[in-house]
Amino acid sequence: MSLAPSAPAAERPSSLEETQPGRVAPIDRSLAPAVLTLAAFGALWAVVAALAGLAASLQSHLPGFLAGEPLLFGRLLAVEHTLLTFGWLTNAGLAFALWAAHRLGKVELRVSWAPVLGALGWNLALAFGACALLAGRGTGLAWLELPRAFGPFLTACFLVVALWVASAFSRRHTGHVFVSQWYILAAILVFPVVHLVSQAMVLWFPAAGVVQAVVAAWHAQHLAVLFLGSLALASLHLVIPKALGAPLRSYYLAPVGFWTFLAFGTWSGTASLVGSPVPAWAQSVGVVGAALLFVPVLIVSLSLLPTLVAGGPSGKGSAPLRFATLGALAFLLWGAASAVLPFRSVSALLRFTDVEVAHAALGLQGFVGFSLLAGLYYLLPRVTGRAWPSPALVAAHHACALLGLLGLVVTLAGHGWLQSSGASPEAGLAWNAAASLFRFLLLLGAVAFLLNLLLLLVARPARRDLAQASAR
Amino acid sequence: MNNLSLILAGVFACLSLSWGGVVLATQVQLAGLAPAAAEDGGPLKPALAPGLAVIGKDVYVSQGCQACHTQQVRPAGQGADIARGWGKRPSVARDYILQDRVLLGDRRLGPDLADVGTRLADDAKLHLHLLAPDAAVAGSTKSGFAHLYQQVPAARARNAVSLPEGHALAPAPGMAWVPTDRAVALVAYLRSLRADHASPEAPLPE
Repeated sequence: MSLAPSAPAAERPSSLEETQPGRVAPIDRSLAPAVLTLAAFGALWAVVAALAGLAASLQSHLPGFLAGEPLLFGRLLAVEHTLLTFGWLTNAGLAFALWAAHRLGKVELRVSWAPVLGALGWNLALAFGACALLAGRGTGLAWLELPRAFGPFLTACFLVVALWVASAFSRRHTGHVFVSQWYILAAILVFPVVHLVSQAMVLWFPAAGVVQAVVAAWHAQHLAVLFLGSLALASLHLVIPKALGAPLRSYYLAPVGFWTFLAFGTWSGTASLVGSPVPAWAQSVGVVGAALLFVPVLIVSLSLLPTLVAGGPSGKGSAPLRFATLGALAFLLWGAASAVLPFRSVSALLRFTDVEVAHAALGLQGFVGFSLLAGLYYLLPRVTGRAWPSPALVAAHHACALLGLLGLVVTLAGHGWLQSSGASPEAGLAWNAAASLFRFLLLLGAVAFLLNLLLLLVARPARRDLAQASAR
Repeated sequence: MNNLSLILAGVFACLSLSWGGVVLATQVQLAGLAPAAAEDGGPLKPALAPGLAVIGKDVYVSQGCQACHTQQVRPAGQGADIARGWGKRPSVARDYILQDRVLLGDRRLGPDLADVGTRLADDAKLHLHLLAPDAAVAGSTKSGFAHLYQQVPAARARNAVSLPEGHALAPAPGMAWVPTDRAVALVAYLRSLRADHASPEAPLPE
């Protein structure tokens, strides 16, 4: 069975835009208010998160920098993590999910003020939440930092947007369901269920003792991998074939990749608790789950990377493909690291060190962040009907994001290795200083993207040639 | 793969299975844990923390201490925690059952604190660590928490924190650093963090 032709006709790229341009424009127009609100807030939070991360990083080697309340190191890290995950990545992911669900289903967004309202509520709550964290009201638990009162409201706002995504599926005009849509469906179900259950078991009706730690680890892994990771994979599975104009390689593997991703990912949460005072069997389950998770990582990579390679030079200059390539490579690296780090012999050395921070950055800012950027670079010109105003800012963003993340991951890993050797904290100062430099690059990249997005929003209505350029 | 309900049902089944298999199963296994004596007639441990320590835990969380400090001693063979003197025995699940919020932590920019109350059994030392870390440990990269202290005239300073001569934070002439209520509570919390008792699951080494 040959691989390429086995992709269903509907999975072929750009068929809709090429054959029925008149049917696409109204869909994009109907999506503009909600998608642009989500994307703009996402880009804004990316900048604020990068600022908080940079400030915390500077404090780690310049004692006395912004010392004292409210900008304490621990609070800045909580703000950075919350705004990176719930601010930037979730907004970007929802913008992509909303757009992809309607475009792939070939339906217009109805009652478009409702998801806008949901997005505004989500982001307003996040703004208050970030202030609460700076005021010292955080819970001190990773991925559950916000005071518990925020949880139900945030979930309700999320559900509004998610329901509009789901309604696009139920109203769709195509019988075929695309790979991207599977991942989007999984993501919008995982977040509300897991977030509410975990909030209840840790913050509202705390379970006794270390059960809390098990819930928190289960929650963190689901949000990082099965929620944000699914949205990122949805973006890669749509952008790569569409932007290349080539079908996905090894399409027949996609369902296997999807179900193993879910089935193994869901058991891998407790891998982060190796050595902790939780039952040993729970740790082992996590280690096995994390190792098995490399199977879907390989399967999906075997489909995405050959598609990119076979696509050849046709898309070399396009921003979506450049970010999709980075996202797909980061996915493979992150998956390999996820499988290795929990092993007991490795964990004994590297647990609690900055190697784990590097791993998280590779997953969240690399795999998820780059993949969703590919989606946004692809969809925003279509939604606005205009090309990106400044190709220079796109190039700057790409260069800063790539160099910044690569440097950050290497310096954090280097610092982590030093920590594992039992060196004194002083010896790590140079590594921390280098990490700050790369965090500054990441900030520059985020600013470039925000600027370009704002220019896109205020740009004058497109001329015909610009519209054509954006469709490419 | 064109049946959406089936996909949703499959995703939900995956979530439910792992929730039942990991979260619920741990809950069932650990639900019966209660304070216990390591030997017949011994004291029941863990004991409830004193009220000031409970307030101090809120200060600990709000100051973000958990960003750099864990509260778990790993067993020998799982890292060098015991060899580094962070505890005499590994932490076990029973140690945490009375805690309203469990702060195991996931990053160590500073030492583990599960047993810090045994290591630094002295208010003055802990205050010095918080006010001027570099005065307590040469070359410390810890952030200072001087905002938890205030300067008052030395004549009416109680519990003054004395700094070495010529330290950058040395108080103005005639003044002295004293802890605020928050610092007092935080130190009470830190002193309550002790794992120097034997547990049925983890005896103390001879």
